[in-house]
Amino acid sequence: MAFSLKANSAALEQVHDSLVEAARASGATMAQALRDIVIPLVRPGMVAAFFLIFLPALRELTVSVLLYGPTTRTIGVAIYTLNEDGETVYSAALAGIALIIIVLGEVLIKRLVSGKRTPQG
Amino acid sequence: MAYIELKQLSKRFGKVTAVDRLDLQIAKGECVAMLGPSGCGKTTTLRMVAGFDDLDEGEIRVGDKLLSSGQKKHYVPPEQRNFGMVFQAFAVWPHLSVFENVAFPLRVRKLPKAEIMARTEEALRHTNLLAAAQGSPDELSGGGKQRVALARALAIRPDVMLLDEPLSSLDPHFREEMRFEIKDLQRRFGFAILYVTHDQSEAMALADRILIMRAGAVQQIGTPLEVYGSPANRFVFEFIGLSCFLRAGLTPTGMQIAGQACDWPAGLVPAPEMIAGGVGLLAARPSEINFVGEGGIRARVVQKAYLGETIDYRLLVGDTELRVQKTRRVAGPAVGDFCGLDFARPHWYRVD
Repeated sequence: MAFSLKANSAALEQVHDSLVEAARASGATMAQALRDIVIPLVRPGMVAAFFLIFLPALRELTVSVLLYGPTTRTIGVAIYTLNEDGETVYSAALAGIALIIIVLGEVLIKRLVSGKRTPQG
Repeated sequence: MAYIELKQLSKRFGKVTAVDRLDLQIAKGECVAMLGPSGCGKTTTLRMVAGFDDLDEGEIRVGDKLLSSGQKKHYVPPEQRNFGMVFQAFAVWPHLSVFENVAFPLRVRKLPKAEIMARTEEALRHTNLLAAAQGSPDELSGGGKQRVALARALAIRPDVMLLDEPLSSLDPHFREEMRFEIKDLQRRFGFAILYVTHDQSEAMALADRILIMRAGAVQQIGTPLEVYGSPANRFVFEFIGLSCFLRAGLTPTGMQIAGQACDWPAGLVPAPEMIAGGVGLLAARPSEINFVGEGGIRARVVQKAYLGETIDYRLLVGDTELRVQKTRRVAGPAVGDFCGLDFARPHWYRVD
């Protein structure tokens, strides 16, 4: 998601305000300007964003399939099968734990990165 | 007579007043340039007329139509205002051909196909773009792109053109050419122009009247001759053309500059209120200062530069530096010489 957002907003930033304003001064409503000017201009960025998401998703699936054995289960598969079996509470709990790990990791990364950016002294 | 009328226009951004009670009337077919340093509110004013910014107070009318009003909370969106507009950043659409760029406003208006073709071709012909019509605007130079923008604005046959520093991103030698092209198009189509620029020579060359702004407030509105010849205040004097200033002590009989006294020449006495103050600022154009052999204010030449047709002198009067420009046909003093100065048409301003 973050990747695609970045690619999309970069594409949108390329569309200078005056390009939209020129369309409006030409008589186009905001919706027409979006359809005829903005979307055609950001389309390449959007396609790139789609692949940025699609490729990691595909890879993740392959990794899960490779790791999965009778004794080892990846978290994603475990959550999925628990939910399939009707154990909604267990699957939600496991998903919650996975979420906490992700959030902790995210916070840690933020700390490390922002620590580097603030000048010392 | 007034076709476009801006009445007591005000706009604030937070605590900053960007435009302060601006009044302006523009007649049909007239060209008015708004001139001022960056951040003076000229672009904000243009954007309010275009409808991209709403106003806080005041009214904008074109013909008998009310476009914006602060009191009545009335606001017509930009797409219904029917103005031609050209931006500093060109704003041509790179994914459309030159032809489609120009045809866009007509397609939006859902005109019949034959008319779209005819009017687009007409606009392209008047801007010398017919040969480039099928190409992408990205293949054109800056001047070419700006001509596309002009053609696009022309296609709707507007009564009013709003030009926001249209020549500022062009190469200097293209600017003069485009200036003439814009003036020529105006003569042919008869639209009124509201033109924003920070380049005074552009404003002087194009405009019938110039509006000079500073920090949101109008300083003067007048013909190029008026703002150059009779500036309303010191800011206008300094902003239009070259200028130099000398502090002078004033008495009813004469003035005193850098310890030298001289009597008032006939007809050049400043206003009585100014003399009563005892001091004043003498303002002069470098081209309107003459060298005299005897008398006048004595000055020493410290630098002399040939600028082709004119010679640029730097002089010292006391410890104030002064600039004088004379044509090379006038025999002037050499560097190090002392000479007398005569101020042909001085203006007087209060010392801050």
